[in-house]
Amino acid sequence: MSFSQRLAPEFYARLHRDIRARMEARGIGLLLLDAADDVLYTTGFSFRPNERPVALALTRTDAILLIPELEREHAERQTMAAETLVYFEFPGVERAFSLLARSIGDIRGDIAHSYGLSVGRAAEIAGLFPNNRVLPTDIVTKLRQVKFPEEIVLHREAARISDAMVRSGVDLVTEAFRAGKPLPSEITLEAHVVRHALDIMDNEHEDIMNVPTLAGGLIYGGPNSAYPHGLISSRRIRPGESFILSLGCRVGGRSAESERTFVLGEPSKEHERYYAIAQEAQRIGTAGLIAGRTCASADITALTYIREQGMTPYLKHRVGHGMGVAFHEPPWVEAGDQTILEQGMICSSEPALYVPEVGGFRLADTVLVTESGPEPMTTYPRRFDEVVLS
Amino acid sequence: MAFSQRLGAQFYAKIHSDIRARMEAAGIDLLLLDSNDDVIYTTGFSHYTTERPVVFAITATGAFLLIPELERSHAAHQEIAAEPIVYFEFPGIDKPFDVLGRAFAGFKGTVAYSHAISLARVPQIEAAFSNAERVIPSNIVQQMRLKKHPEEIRLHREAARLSDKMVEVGVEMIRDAMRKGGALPSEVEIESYVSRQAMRTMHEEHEDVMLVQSLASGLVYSGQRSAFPHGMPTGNPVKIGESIILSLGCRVGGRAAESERTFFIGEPSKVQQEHYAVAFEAQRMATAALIAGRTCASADNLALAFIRDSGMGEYLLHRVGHGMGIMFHEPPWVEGGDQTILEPGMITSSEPAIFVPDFAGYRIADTVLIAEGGPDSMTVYPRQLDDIVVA
Repeated sequence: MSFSQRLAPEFYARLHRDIRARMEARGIGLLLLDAADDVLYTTGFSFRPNERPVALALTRTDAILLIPELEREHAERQTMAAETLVYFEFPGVERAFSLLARSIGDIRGDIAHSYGLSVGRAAEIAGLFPNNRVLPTDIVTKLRQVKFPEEIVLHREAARISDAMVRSGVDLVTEAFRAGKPLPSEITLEAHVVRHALDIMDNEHEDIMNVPTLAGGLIYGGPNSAYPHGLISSRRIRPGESFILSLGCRVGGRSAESERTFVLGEPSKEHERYYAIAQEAQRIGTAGLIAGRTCASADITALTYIREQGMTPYLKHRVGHGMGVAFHEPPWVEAGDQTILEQGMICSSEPALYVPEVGGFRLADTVLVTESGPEPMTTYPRRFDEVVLS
Repeated sequence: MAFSQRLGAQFYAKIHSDIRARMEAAGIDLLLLDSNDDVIYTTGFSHYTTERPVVFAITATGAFLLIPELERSHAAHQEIAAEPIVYFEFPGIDKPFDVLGRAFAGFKGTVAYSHAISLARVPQIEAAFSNAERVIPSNIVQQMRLKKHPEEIRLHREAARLSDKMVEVGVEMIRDAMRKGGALPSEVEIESYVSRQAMRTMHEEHEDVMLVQSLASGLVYSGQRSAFPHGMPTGNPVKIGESIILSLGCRVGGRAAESERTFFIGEPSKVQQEHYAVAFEAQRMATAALIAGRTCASADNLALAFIRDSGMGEYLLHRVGHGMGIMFHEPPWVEGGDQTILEPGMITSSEPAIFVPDFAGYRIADTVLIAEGGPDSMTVYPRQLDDIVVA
């Protein structure tokens, strides 16, 4: 039986009921969601965002998805939890939101949108509903933080594939190394592991949800890995250096990431020492993801450990971030985020050290916060002898 | 001599002085720009956008870039036209915009931000600049970006050359497979191959590749799938008797171009030829209409009217095109609703198309510079029927 990436209509029906209950409690008559990830979350419609608005309009009785003509057929082919309302183009002789306002008619109560809306679009919407208050709301942002069981199934599969991506990257490097062939570049490795993830989905899933960044990652070798700026280069992996494989994918639009730091060939004492500290900090980071505690506490515990090891100059970031429809989303596992962790939240755990001229040392797992404690869904091996490749 | 992707310090000095002149005219004392593309345009700093704010801040005398600790060394490696102000993390105990506010302690004038900023950031700016006289939106930089400087046009031209080359490489890949008689490549394989080839070319021929998101990439659709161009290639293999769209582009020094052609795999049928002829003529008309002094709307109306008059109105899914600059899509929009007057130095795509359901899509796209002497197509890959039959 192959794996299904699609969530059932019942999932969306329940979600819409939940959202409407919260709208009712706050006196909201119309909720507008125009971020690609909110649209995917509430309707199952996946698309490649550009300047043409795509927005869900949810009222007490209706769920309407505003889309450009360009997406009509694409929308018809996806089973989604909304009726469509199609405008021709952007900016349009008749603008998209004007068409929406005209179709919806009078609304009783407030009109709400997410905080992520742009200032320009907020002004446009306010102009179209002169008789209503127009204000931001975090209803859906909050709902998204605690995952439903059906979503956790998808995250788990994404985590499994993310681990497989790391494995395929390791295989590519070690095979070339053992055969004495030229080692792959960061770009080549990235293409290879992405292809591997797509092959798994093609072979094992019956209905791939084709989202932007279906699979991707960051790969840095040697000194490059000491400044993780998110853009890979054509530099080849080199023996005697460490390198980072930070890989992830989205299954049914739900994300996971798996990341390990490897050393190719003979590791130095420095490699071993920095790796040990990064590994222990990450163990502490993960162990701190306990329901009832704050996100801040997990960050502070792990970062304090790194500081106490005298590694403060090598700290560049927090422990982690929430994961869901987006790879990065709230809550933030960071000292400034006082969100209380709850069962069903999913966060990364990835405190790290970046040592100039030597390299970066980071392990990242996708961790589910459960009743009985933190559960890493990515499980790629991590002992030092397991990440030294020869 | 290798090609240099970096714009020099003089370029940014000119941009900053132009922004300052406009700020003064608009009564703005501090302008904040927080989008990835505005930051590239004003500082040359390229980064991967996350939830962590990266904000360019310019006053009459200073230019600063608010960045997270994560980007400190990355910023130091790029010669950026701004002085960094570093915060540790997001959301942060010491919030990013508070760190920014403290760098301008005692500020009392008018603060402006772009219309594209998210609503959530506005209260953070208001709180960080609590003594400001006004905090308002401004489109100063959006307006400036419409017209390209000569140094930018040089980058777009190189991006256009590489985009054409990507199309060529993609066609060669299919031709090779046909010659060998083996399995034809899939959409994903073609996309991945041409993107990698383009990046390789850049690294070989350019001395200082500016690593940006979507350095080289594209859309590849074949057969029936090309009739609904929703932006995501699949594992579908190319088939003889079908057509395929190669829509490929790249960014050189953070400046975009795209080249797109529709190819026939094997000899086209009469119906396929009729479809192609309409798409070809519509695109020729659209490009010819990108004339300084006319509106964007007029070019769109003309080409789309031709398609409708040819009895193919039901196959229309989109406008003629969009502006290109730092981004692949940016204003002005070559569309019936955009009354922007075209000016020399603007760059737009020209890509009216028809999409025949359950059959195929037909699109030709060029990257066109509006010049004094008329529209100058910077992508030049051949497009006559004979040129696009792969057999």
